[in-house]
Amino acid sequence: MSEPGTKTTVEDFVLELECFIVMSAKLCITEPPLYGPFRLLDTARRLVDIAEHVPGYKKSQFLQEVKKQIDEKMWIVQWDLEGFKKFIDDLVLQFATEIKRS
Amino acid sequence: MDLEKAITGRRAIRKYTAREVEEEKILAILEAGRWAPYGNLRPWEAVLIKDKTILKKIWKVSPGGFGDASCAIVLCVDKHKASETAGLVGKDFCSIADPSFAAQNMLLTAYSLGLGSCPIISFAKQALKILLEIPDNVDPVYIVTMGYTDQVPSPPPRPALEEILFLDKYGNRYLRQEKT
Repeated sequence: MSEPGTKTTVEDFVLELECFIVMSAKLCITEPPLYGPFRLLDTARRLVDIAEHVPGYKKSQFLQEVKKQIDEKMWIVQWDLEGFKKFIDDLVLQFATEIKRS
Repeated sequence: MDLEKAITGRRAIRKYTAREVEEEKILAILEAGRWAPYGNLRPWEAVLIKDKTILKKIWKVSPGGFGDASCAIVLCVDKHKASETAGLVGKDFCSIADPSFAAQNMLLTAYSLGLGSCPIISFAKQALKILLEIPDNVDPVYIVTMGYTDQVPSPPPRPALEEILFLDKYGNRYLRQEKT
């Protein structure tokens, strides 16, 4: 996994993300069903780092906040399924509000 | 360190500092794994990963892995050998249980030595086998990451003992005796 601030090219970043998505697809065949949404959230979280690697791409405060929330709450999938679903509902509302505002 | 403290204090650590884990601590952790109970004649083997380039590649095929551990131990079992030495029990049970016992010893020992650790099973087995040149008859079962802890997560909730414990027969809930 590339860390923000390290010398990773856009190509490295994209390959890494593609790799994560494909490996996740493989794991989703056998993992608990809610790990699908969990991996998608992890993908969304990782994608926020694209600003660290793509010259000219502006950091989004909204997406940084989303990443922070996912970092904090994604793991509850392991013990609080209803809380996890509610967290996704909350994210959906936040994205809808942001899309409406933009 | 007191065993109860290690058992209740250990957490799955996913964020580590940049400090490297000392070789003697790594070996002590592996040695603790070697002393775990096991159910067939040759329970498990391990690949210790210290090379950061290889570690990074491992995380790329491990959606459940997080990339800043100092090192990792990949616990493997030879299912063919497990089957030869312990039959179906070896192949279907010991090949999972034995490395699990070993991993638990390792996690607790890591904590007792002031380290964080995390057992990972969410990795693409076939991809990891290619990366580490693991032969066909051997399967990686766990990746145990280790490092100096940066962030300690809150403990996930666990059911009360009364919720999971029966007395003498299944269904007869165990009730704690009131102390007088």
